[in-house]
Amino acid sequence: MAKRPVPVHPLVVATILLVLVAPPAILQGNNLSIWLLASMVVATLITFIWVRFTIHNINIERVHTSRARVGQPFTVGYDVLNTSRIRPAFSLWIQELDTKNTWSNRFNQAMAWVMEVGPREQVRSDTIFWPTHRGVAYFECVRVKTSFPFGMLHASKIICHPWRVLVQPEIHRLRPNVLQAIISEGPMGQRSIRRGRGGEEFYGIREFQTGDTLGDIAWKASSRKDTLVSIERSRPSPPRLRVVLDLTTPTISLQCTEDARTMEEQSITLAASLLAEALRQGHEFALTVLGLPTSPDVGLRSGQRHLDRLLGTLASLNLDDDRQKIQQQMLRNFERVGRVVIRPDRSEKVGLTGNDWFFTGSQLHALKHSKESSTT
Amino acid sequence: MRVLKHYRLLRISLVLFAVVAQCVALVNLWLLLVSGTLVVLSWYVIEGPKSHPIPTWLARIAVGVAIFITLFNSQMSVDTIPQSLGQFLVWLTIIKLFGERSIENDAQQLLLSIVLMTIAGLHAVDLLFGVLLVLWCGLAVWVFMLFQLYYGVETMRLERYAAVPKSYGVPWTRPVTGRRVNKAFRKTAIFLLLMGVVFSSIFFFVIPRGFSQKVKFLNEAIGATTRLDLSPSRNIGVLKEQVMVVQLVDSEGVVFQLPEPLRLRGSVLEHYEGEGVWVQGTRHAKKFTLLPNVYTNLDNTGLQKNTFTMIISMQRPAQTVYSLYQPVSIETDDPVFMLYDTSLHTMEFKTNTGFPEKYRIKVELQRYITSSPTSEVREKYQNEKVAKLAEKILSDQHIDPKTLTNAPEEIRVRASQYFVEYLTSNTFQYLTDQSLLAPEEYDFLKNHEDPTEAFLLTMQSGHCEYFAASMVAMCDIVGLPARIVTGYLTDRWDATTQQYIVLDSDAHAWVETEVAPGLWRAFDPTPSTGGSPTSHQTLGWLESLRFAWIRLEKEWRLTVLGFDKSNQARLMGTFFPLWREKTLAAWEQTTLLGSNVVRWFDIGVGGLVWIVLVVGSIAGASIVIVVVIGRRRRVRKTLTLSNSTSTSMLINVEFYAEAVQVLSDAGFNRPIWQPAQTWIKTIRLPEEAERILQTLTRYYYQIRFGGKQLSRTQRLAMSSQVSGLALAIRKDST
Repeated sequence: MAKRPVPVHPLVVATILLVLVAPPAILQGNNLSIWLLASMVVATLITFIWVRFTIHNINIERVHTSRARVGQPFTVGYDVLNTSRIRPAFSLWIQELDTKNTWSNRFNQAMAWVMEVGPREQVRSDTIFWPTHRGVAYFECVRVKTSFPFGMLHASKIICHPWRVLVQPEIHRLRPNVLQAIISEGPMGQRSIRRGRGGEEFYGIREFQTGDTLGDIAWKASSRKDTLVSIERSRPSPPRLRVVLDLTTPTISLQCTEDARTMEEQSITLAASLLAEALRQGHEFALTVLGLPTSPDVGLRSGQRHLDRLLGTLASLNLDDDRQKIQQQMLRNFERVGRVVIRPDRSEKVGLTGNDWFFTGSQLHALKHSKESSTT
Repeated sequence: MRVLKHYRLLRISLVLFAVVAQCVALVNLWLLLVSGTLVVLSWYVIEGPKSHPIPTWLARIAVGVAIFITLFNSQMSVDTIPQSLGQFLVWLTIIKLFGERSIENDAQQLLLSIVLMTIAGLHAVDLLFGVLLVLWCGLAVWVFMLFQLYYGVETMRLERYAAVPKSYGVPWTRPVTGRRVNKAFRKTAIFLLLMGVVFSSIFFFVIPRGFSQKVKFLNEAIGATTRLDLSPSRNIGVLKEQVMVVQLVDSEGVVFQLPEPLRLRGSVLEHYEGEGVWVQGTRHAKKFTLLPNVYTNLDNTGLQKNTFTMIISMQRPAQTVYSLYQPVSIETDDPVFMLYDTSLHTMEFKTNTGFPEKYRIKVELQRYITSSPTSEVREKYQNEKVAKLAEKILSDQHIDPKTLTNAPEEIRVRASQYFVEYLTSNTFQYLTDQSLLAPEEYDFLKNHEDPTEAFLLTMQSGHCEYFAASMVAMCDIVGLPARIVTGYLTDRWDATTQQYIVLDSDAHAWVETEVAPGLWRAFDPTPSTGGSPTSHQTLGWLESLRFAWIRLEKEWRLTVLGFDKSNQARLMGTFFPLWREKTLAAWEQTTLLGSNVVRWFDIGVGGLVWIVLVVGSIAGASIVIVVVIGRRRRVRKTLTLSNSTSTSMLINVEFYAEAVQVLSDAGFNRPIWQPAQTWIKTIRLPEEAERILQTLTRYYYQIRFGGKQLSRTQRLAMSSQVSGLALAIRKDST
């Protein structure tokens, strides 16, 4: 919190004033001093009672308003409810408690402040967190505090609302030609469609299936094969990209000149940036993480939701876990996509065949868009 | 943010009040003018569109200079520490006002204003300070509350900016408030202010006092002197401080004004000790014990006299009792001893606990004062040159000085008047400031062994004491008994309050001569020139206002500053009997109502008892109904049940509402949209508490959606489970 406006604590100030006023009041019977003493005592009592009653009637609920991503502000909202019937609450400070380093290693935080909430009113306040590191953050409890009206004494209340936040890795804008180069290396891809006429390209022949129309039947091929076969048509599918993040090498075994963990994080960031760039250019994309357990691969998709899912996968990667060896069955579905393999240290082929691109974490800065590069 | 619109102006007003109050307490007009001007100037310098604060190094130098000046001016004694500290704090506050505009500076200025008022309160006695203190306290409550909000706004802004990198640029957001923040703030401020005033006043009146303080704040009045010294080194200070107010009330209670000026007798000086010194004569002093609110008779003639009442309120209580003419009886508010000279008709209080500040004297309106003759053994004035002058004055008016001793009243009166005419002629000049004399004149007067002769024959200028002493001296020489009377002479009538206002400058000395055996009449030999108490002064509206303020100041000093244990005892004695009376009156009213009811309905005492029982039952049932309805409403609200939920359902699920309340008190609040069963899985509770909660939730669902009904025993068991839940949670938190 910002530094205290007065160099000494208000209670210290009150004590000093008490020491100034009390002797003339008690020993000399100076009536003005007696009245000043009475006023100070009353002010302290009133503050003590007021803050207690105010806090007692305050309820807070956390409102999750946005996702967290490194490099972008993360807004957390609070619904503040004053259950008192007659007494408004002023100057409420709302702060997330970080008792077990649950989020402070992921965020820089600002406190939320509510100027006033009337009797039986509910207001929404928000605060900004600035995510600094990717990962999982746990929010446990919220403390609400007030020292209104005179700032001498304060009362606080802790309300527990457990909450788990995935902080997605930072996304950098990459040079457009990077992705174009990756996609052009691989097959453009054709998406098979079961039905449809007009404009679709011939894709292949398949067995007749219930529901195929007369127009779908390849008569000539059927006569030759003595069985009904249908034409399978296709339309051009958007370019597809699969990002393979190779984290099979434990951190201590990595061979890089800079800090190994930093390189791993940069490689994760590079992966995230590539996926975001793919979305931006309208491609389908998928992610495969080697070496660490992740959620099952949902395949090549497009759309913001898919990107969020993959970024969540990247966010939940725990680099301290034991690394698993590459399992070949994970590499089976890598055909007909543009592939890029990212490793923290020098590139290694991971057993893929075909034309793949290999990047390391240290190449992140080189691949950034020129505007970003100049700013960083 | 309308609520903070006037914050800056109010803050600087608060600081200005504190600075002015400190200057008033220091009684330093120069400091007041300079500091007040600088405070006002700081508003334009700092708060204007182009703020120009002084640099830090300059501020530090200024503080050092202020410390040096304070140390230089102070006398370094313990008594002057509050004043020196106050002066220093004034300068420090002004330096702070010219500092940069920041939240820290604001807080420090507010803190300095508190310290200023506190230090000033240690030594201030003026009413003006009291008024400023009250105003400051009211304003301080408002400003301190506003400061809390202002601090919050600024700190929130800084927090947000500090949380994100500078390159990002956080947009400013308005503070979050309710719908009616201005109204809420005003109500809260007024409520807190009233609470503060009420409770601090109660504290003030209840805190035990150990001693009387009235005497401290009321300086003794001057005017009547028991020793008159005509030494030329003494200047008569012309003070305009109010001494007393006098109201005259006739026997029918009507306030009236005398046609001639008010001549208040204080003391009588009839003994000449030589070298210009006259002293008081006391011969027949009688001691009286004055009881409060009872007239004590001073006249032992037993004759019925036509009297009127003088009500005297002393601004500064004095030992001497002042009276017109000859007092008949006296009454005070407090018990006190008094010495009354039955011959000279002078009075003085004898007490160690403080002189009464108000008393009432019944006097008889008459020209003469009956008094025994001046004692023959007293020292009389003797001077050949003065004797020649006195004889010449009388001879010129065809009065034989040698026959005055046995002359009739008329001759004596004429002789007295001739002396008065001589002294009030243009030959003599009224003068109070003897520094106006030429050096050789001053030396002559100072070195002369007989100031009376010097005055009469050479200087012929002086104040009223010279004139009175000269006339008594001449009367003594020619055998006419005379004496100097000191007291006050005024005709300053305040029509608003129907009172005479007596100032210090009205102190006067005149002469009483024995015009007939036992009869003394007043003569005033002082000329009626400008500055003399005998010159008539009209009272303008500004002066009336000033005197009204002086009276208020007196009340302030007596009732507030001088509030001591006797006042406290009197207040408590008034307060509690008041409440006792009210309670008794209420009880009487109730019994009267009861008897009226019996009479109206002709039901007898048994019927009255029956009515009381019925009314009591209705009242009790109403209370129970209200409580029950309140409980049902609370259950409905806690579990967010609709208004159509049946009463039996509410009764059955009440235990779960208590459980939810227990969890809410522990900080676990169920979102409205989330079902209870889902919610309890998300909260982390100790094992025991979790088990109990699951049981309660299961029963709740069975009742709510399964139609289960609980018996009374089962409901009690559920309630005890809720208590177990609370205990388990409390155990874990400790």
